Amino acid sequence: MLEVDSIAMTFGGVTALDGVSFSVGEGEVVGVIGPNGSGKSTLINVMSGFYRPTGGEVRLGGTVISGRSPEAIRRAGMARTFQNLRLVEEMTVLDNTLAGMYLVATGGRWLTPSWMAEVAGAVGARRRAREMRASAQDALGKVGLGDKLAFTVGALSYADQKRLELARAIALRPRVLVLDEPTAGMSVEDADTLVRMVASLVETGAQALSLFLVEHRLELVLEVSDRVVVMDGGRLVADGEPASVAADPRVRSIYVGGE
Amino acid sequence: MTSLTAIRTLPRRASGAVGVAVPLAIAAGFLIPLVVTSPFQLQIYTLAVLNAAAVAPLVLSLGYTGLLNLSHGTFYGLGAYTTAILVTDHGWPFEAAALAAAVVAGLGGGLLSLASARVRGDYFVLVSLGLTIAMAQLLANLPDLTRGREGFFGIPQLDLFGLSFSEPVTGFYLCLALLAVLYLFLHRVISGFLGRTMLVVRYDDVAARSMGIRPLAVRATAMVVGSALVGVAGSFLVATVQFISPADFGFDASFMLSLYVIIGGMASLPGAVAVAVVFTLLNEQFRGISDYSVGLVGLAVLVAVFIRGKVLRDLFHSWRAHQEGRATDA
Repeated sequence: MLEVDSIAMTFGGVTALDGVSFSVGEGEVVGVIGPNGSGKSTLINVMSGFYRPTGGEVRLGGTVISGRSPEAIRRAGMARTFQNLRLVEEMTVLDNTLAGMYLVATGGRWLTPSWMAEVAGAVGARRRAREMRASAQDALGKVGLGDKLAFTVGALSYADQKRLELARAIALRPRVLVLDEPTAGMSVEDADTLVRMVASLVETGAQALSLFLVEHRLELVLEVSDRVVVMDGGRLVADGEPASVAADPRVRSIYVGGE
Repeated sequence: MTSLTAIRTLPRRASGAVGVAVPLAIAAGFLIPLVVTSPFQLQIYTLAVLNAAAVAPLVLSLGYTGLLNLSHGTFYGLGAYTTAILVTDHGWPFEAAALAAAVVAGLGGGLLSLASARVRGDYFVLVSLGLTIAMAQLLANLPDLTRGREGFFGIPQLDLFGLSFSEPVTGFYLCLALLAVLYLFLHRVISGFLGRTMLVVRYDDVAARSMGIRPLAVRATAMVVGSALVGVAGSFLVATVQFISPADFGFDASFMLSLYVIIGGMASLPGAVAVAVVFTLLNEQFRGISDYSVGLVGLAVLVAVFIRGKVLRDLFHSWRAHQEGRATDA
């Protein structure tokens, strides 16, 4: 599904990523761990098109996506969240979720005949809008925001804002969902519930998606992931089943020595 | 919990009330000619309605996509001059000239939006400002086309589908109908997916792109549609006043139009329309205060900034919290 092939990224002489390769299979949950500054967020920014890698390539479903714009990569089927929230505070929870959904329905095209149909209030357009709303509510229900649809984002707690970012990405029905520390700032119980919910979306095949999860809570990652990759200093230092990664002495040294 | 929800949704409900009141006021406006019989008074109302129709489309680019567009008056002027030239010198019917005005102004808006791909924020304001000043100079210095600095005289009496702009009551109704149509159209545009995508672009380019939204495409759409619509308002202005001059579409005009949107609450169509009507009426009705109108606008901007900065809302919140605290104690 997603192949990352010897990706390198340097910023003016500083090497942030150095020959990182791994793959995420269809319906697979891949967890990523590593200390701060190990290149996890840089990797996500490369995968989602916000950075152009200085070497290597990223393929999604066999098509090269590295070097394309974030919008094009979104169209190709990836959706991501941000470690630091990127929500529109003035808009409601529901509107934030709906904002990108129309473009899913049009295959990413911006101006289409349905544009005028919606403005004119045509019957078909209204039905589509209702369906979209229902699907947004469904995504919000999954993350536990079903009763806060009309709240403006500014009125939400930090944990709820993290949930909203997740719902916004799920609602885009991605083939690959990329989550950058989705539970930061949440209580342990809330974080567990949320990550298990997302992992179950993949396992139950409720959506044909693969999950790429950056999360610094080791136990949680080991529990929900099919495979775990470990990063340190811009390199991939381990890649395997959770049990074998947990037993890897290098991983132990990073975690014991690092945090 | 319920009262907490009530507080949190307060700004939305307050703007909801304005959102109901303004369309009702527009509908009620159709009764004005029954009450106001003096042609001079009616002319003032016509100008107020026209100003509102000119401001409304600016809500798209300035209010919703956050593009600091200081050229709206220029596109108003492009529409007006296109109409004046076509009907006076080329004998076009008003309807065709109004369409041409929409195309010319829309193209102008599209060109300016391309600049937003290159420059952002403060720098875009400078580009926009430059365009506004350059266009006013151009209109003043092309006498063969625009009759130059003294303005465009000799515009014939115009009519739309047989309804004459020169008859005060009919003219008022035509302009009010334009406002109603623009309001309805813009309301439909911003309350659907277009409005949502525009707001995302206004606040966060990165978030927008991660959702597959191309910021430039969204800004260009807002600029083209907004400029084309104000171009049509320019046509109606020409038909109503039958005289325009480059000074009408200089920096002052664009600046005032932008201020109306800012005072109205940025992304608020009813707010911008209400502010435009009220300020025009105040200015025209009470000629005495027009000396102070600049100060008045400045004061209104301050108030708007306080509201936008949530100073008033926070005050209200702490007052409510205080009240609730007392209620719990009792």
